[in-house]
Amino acid sequence: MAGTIAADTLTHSTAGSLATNFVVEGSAKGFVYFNGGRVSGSVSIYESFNKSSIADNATADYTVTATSNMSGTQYVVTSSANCNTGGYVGLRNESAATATMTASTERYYGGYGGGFQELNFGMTATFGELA
Amino acid sequence: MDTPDFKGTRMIDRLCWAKKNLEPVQTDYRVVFEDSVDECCRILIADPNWLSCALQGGILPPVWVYHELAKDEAQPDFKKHTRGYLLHETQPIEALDEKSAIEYLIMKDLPQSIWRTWNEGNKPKMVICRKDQLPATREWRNAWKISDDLINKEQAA
Repeated sequence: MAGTIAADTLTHSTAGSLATNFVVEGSAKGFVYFNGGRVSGSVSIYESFNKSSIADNATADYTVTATSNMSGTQYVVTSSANCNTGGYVGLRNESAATATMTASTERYYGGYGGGFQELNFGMTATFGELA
Repeated sequence: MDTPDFKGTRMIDRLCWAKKNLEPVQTDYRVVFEDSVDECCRILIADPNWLSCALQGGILPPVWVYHELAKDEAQPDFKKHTRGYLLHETQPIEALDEKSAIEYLIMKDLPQSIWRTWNEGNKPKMVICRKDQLPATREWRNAWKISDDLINKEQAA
């Protein structure tokens, strides 16, 4: 492919070296910034990478699906949200030990003050190995 | 803009190209579906960057690729995908129009139990509508259901 540099290590003149697999493996593999519908009344995606859809499941309950699947279900997401003066978005879990993640979907809930709350917006990023 | 020949290019690299070169497309279509009679309906919304890829053509794999990966993941001993190459090596699909793209998305992101038998119950399990046909506010969101007025004609007869 044009513009390709193949290298295993990047070396700076004074700051040291960095293995390029650290860059590849450490980069986010997807992200989404979505409208949770609290103000507008409808859920939608503002900005994203490597996502195909969002599902509005119920109050403060959202499923995001990827275009390029992760390699398995052991990966990491990080998230942030606003639903009033604060708020959070977290992984919804089916049991105390099991988060609702597949290799292509992440299910989130919105919360504030200890309860489910519709979000103004939510933001998540996905890290790990792609299929 | 022509799409490069992406067969054999990793999906994530195709998406990087699309992110840089294509304008996101917001759709007014919404897919309302019911996964369980005991739960409220859900609403599927297409991602604008994904939709631009579908409309452009030459980027996304055929939908059967996702079904094969889902089959692998449904195995009880599933740990990691071993057929991820299907995403990257399979000939990408041609450009779709917006309606066909939503149909592709339904087959990709909705459970097969819904779209394969969407009209076999007392009422449809799935309806494609426009955004402005949904309630304008989130009031009673957990009670939203597909209207009983949409009883399948075959069943009604």
